[in-house]
Amino acid sequence: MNSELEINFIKELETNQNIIHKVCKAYTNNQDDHNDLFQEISIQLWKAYDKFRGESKFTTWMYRVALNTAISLYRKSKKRIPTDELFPNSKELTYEEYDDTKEKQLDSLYQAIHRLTDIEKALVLLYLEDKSYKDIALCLGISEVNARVKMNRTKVKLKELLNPI
Amino acid sequence: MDSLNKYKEVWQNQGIENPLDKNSLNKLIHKRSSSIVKWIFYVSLFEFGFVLLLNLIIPTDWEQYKTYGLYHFMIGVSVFGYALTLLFIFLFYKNYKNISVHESTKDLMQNILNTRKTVKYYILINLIFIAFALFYSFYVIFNSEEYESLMTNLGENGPILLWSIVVFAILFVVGIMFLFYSLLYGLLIKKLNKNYKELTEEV
Repeated sequence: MNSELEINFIKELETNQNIIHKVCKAYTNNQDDHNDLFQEISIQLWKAYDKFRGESKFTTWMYRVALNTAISLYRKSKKRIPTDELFPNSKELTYEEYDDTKEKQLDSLYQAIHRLTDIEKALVLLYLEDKSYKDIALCLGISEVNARVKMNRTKVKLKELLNPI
Repeated sequence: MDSLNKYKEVWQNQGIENPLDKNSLNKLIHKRSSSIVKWIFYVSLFEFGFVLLLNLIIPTDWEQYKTYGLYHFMIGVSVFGYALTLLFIFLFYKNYKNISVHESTKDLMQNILNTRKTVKYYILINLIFIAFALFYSFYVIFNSEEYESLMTNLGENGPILLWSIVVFAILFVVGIMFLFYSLLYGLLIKKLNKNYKELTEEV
């Protein structure tokens, strides 16, 4: 019983699922938690989808819901629903598997991101996506000035993590 | 040029190792959520149920209350207890409905913490209320005619000892319940509290 809304949503989700994967990869350390968070973000997106009015870009809205879920709603739990059925090939994946030449750069970027706090991760992810300070401030609910100051501090920290002296 | 800029391109062009198809995604969105809000909601429902149960258990023998002259007091206690529960169910539901994942991170966290605060007040008021009702009931019972002879037989320090035991027992029960709730919620919103503090910290 798929409504039109659901079909549209699944289509959008399929096209833009890389956003959720990026957030999951930044906020979790293993494949099980990754899948778990991916599931929770998808559920939250679907629950909020009928309220999405298109006042922002779909991808920006997705980022907001995904980050909100990772920062505020998600709890790592030892007991989790088996995700094998939903992620049939997930056992074959590891975060280290990238065959392009940028592999090392991306790998060290993720390693550095893992050492940031939840809020700093959000700031860095939005920065890497080239979001404006206005969008970042709106997404997090802080002032633009505050967003800038926090971002500058986080960037300094990230640079230190990427290039340790 | 910002040395982090080179990472932007790598970040934005990263591929997905194993994208999910429509069918898997469809299954995924109909799974049960494990969100913290849902857990706060469940724990709160459990609390409402628990306090309701206490309200039902405490006033049992109305005839007995009549003999002690507690009848009207206990009617008042019950009415107040139920009114309080209804008021808080309304407040709690309103708060819960306000939690929306697509508002800003700060607003979302604020709303979750407000919901938590409402439940905390509910528990606190109920515990104080139960302690007061128990204390008053014991006071009336110990001063009733039936207990007069017992109190006299206990000797000079008897009543003080009896009261000490009653007060200690009431405080002990209330304390244990308060600790239990604090711990339960503490564990639930530990991460949220930490993140909220960091985000709202003025620079």
